[in-house]
Amino acid sequence: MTDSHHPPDQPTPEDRLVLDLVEELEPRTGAAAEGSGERLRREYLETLGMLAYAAEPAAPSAGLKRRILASISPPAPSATGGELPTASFRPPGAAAPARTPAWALALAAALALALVGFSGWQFVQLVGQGKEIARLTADLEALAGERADLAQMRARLAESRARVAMLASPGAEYCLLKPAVGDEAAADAWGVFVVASDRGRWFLRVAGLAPCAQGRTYRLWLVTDEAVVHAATFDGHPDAASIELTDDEVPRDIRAVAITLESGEPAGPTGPRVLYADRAMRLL
Amino acid sequence: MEPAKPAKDRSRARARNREDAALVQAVVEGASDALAALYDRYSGMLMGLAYRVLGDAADAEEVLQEAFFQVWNQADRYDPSRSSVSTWLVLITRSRAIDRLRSRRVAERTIGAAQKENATTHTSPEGVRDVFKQERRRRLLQEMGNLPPEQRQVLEMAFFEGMTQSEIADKTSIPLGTVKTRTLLAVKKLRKALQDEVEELL
Repeated sequence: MTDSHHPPDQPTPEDRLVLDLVEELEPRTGAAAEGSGERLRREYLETLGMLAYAAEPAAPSAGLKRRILASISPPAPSATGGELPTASFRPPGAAAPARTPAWALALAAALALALVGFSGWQFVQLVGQGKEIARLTADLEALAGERADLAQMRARLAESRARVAMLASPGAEYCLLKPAVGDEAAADAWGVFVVASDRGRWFLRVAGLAPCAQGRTYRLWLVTDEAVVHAATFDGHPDAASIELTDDEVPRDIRAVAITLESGEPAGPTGPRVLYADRAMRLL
Repeated sequence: MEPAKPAKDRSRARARNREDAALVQAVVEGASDALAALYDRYSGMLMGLAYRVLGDAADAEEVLQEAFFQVWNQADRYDPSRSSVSTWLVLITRSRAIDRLRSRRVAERTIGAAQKENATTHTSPEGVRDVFKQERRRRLLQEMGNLPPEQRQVLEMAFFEGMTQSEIADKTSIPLGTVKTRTLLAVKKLRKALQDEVEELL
């Protein structure tokens, strides 16, 4: 074989075929291929295709195959069907798997749709139940608050009833407390002391007493034939409004009631007397 | 030139070609695992081709990905009477590699990469176990080596660099007629030398 440095004057159809194939390297090459015979064209094409084997094989990166397969997989099945549906390849010669009947596929699809629908319905129900639980919990908390308020109201009502019962009791005795002579600070003060021995309870209501100075308190004393009993300690009201006190420890034979202004916690009255009542002052 | 292969080997090769054609048909029907099988069979060889053309592994992988995506989308265009599956895959990959080579104007880088290529040791596992392709590569390299260097040069420039005969003439400062003659002689010699290999693909 010689290596001529000049092209042939009259290239044969085969020459044109080869040159066209080398130039274009496409499976379908033009008129030269048809004129030279399909087999010849095919032989040259395969020869040129084998040139790829001259390149040393190279391993693509490990993830390339996965990326390629991922790029051709449809994202999700749709009602209209994917543009690139994936099917299972069966090697030549392998036994054909049993074909699934169309009615079975339809049934499976219907069941799948029903399952999806049921799951959706359950999800909606679950969300609704969650909201209902939250609402009932809020109601329960509100009811608990109201129940506490109701208990307080019941306690106040019971106390009021007990006081009314005491005041209306046949054994109730009322004493009017008046300011002590010479006490200008308590000149406008007054009070009512009620004792119901048959019910074992006393009640005091005073008004017009100014708040005490730092470290001083008002003390209520119940005077009997045998002792002077300390019954309560309290402070005055900033607006000189009325103050109510009650207790169920009632000494026998109360002869007099006194309110003194005290420092500390003396066992008996030591300070100036602010309000005072004795039997001569009984109302009933 | 080596003696023709035994009939048993040729029979196996043709069975393999039929399998390739069946794989392509399965791809037409949407079987992604058939595309995966084609990838397993030919990715090493095609990656080597793309790398040889482009001289860059990342570019070569992109070309390979595009090529297989084209196979997936255009498998119905494959005509078994026109070419074997392996040649069809080679032409698709080469076409995309050459397009990329031209668009990115990395021809100057290719020469260096092609020179480096022989020193590259990345051997595909597929290439190791695929006796058919190993044998085909060995035969081709042998017959290419039998070509006069000037004929092998123009053939490699045309195939791996996508250069036209005129471009080769310009680049090598050889008359266009001489380039054509060398190309013709090289291809005709290869066809004759590889006749049995070619027969297997028909």
